[in-house]
Amino acid sequence: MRALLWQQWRDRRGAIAGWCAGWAVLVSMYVATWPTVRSHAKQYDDILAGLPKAMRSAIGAEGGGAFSTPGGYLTAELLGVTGPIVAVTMGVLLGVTVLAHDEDDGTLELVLVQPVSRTRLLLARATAGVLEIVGVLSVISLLLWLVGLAVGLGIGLIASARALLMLALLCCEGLALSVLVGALLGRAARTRAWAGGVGLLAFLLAALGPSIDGLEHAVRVSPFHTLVASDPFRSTPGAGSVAILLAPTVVMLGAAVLAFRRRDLRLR
Amino acid sequence: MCVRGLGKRFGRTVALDRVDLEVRSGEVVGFLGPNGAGKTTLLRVLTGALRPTTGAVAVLGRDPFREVPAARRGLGYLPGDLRLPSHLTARRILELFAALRGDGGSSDRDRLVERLEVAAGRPRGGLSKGNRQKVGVVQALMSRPSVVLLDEPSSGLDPLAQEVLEDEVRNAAARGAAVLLSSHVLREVEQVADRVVLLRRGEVVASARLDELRQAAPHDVDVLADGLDVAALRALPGVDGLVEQGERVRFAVTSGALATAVRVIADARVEDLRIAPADLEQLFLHYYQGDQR
Repeated sequence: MRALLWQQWRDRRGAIAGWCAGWAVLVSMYVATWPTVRSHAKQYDDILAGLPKAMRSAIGAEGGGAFSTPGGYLTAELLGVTGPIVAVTMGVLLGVTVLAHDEDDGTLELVLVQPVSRTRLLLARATAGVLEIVGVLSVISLLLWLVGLAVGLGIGLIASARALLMLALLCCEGLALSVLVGALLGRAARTRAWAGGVGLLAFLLAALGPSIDGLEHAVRVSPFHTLVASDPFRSTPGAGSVAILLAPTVVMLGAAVLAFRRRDLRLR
Repeated sequence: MCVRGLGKRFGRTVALDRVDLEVRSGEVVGFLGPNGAGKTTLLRVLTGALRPTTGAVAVLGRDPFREVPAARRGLGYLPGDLRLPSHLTARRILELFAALRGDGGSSDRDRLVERLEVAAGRPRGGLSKGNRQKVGVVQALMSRPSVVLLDEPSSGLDPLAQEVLEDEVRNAAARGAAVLLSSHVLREVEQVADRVVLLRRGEVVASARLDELRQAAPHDVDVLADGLDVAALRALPGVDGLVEQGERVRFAVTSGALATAVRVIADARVEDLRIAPADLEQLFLHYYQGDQR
């Protein structure tokens, strides 16, 4: 099994480097623009104040003055909008490679003739994906801290690691969702489409939920809302917040194992 | 390996219906049938890739779908539609499968790579179909499995490699492996199989030793004779497809009617007579021609 995982990492070196580069550009861009934002914080906060409360809540800026502090600024910009979308996209795309990609191109048939159980294969590959996510976002948290030092951001390494770890947990949810859909469907394109669609729908519901009657309370258990509400750049997230981000991953991976163990391989 | 009352459905399509099959240690069973007969489905059920709808399957005494590692530890499989992991050289692919098996198959691996002249250093993308197939054959046989499942193993192989493959299949059986070989190359089955199983529309229609099947199948008779009583021949039960061309007569006759037919022929002045037992191709046509119409 170790051989298979090493091979998986070797195969995905390019993709992992690509995700690192993408996150690096995104995070560096936000951090590098902090000095400009800080000097115009009043105007930004005035613009935010004109938005409906529900929208401010979605990006963690309901209290006002979000752009006056680096933590508030990064929460609104990085954790409120772009970060979750990129994290879920990354998770979904990595999740497709756990099962659906190889099942679709037929290489899984020969792998599963070896003395390796489906449960073990799925969990080992999903674990490899989780480690990739944590690895990439750990590097990015270090980068955020270093670029932040250069521009006087004032976010410590611990705060940076905390926030990026919460983002990694959301990314793992995307991965688990994609693994589950792949375990059910066994086709790469359909898995990307369904998992991506469900992820996007969940994000939209979390963003628009506070404005919709009957959804305002349900949104509080949404991972997207939890990511922002836990305010990881300024405080240590509580166990409840971590559980909301972690539990769906565990449940979806468990469901994926059950689904994958019981069905036929989708073979051409 | 043992299959009892096996059924497999895909929605409303019946792929396999009440299939019984047993392949014993040291035996090579040729598995024949037209396209869509269910051969590949049966092999995939035996590997545990597909779950039986009804019936029981045992490979090395274990259910390949439920008791995965134990059932597959002694299994070697070459799929009909071979897909290999991308970006890897043939050598790396073989090392990967050897590592997954956790066995010391390296000595047989190197020997097979050498015998089949596999282009081991070339990446999969640079391998021809024949070379990919050779990699598939090596991975199926390198760990000296106790059960070998081969689906169209000679597909894409050159005649030299085919000969090596046949030899290796015989070697595997000689050391006690149970081999199930699905093939459209009837000569190959004739060369290596002890027994033949014929599958039609998901059902086993015949399972016997080759000589027994030949006995049951019609012989081809070609006779050149003066004064031959063609009407008597035509009237014989067991004579079929009689064609008359001047003094030359051709027909097929079952083993049971052969002696009577020869007596009728002997009453004429025979100039030339040829009686050929059915080869595997004729047997195949005998069982399946109705399906093609």
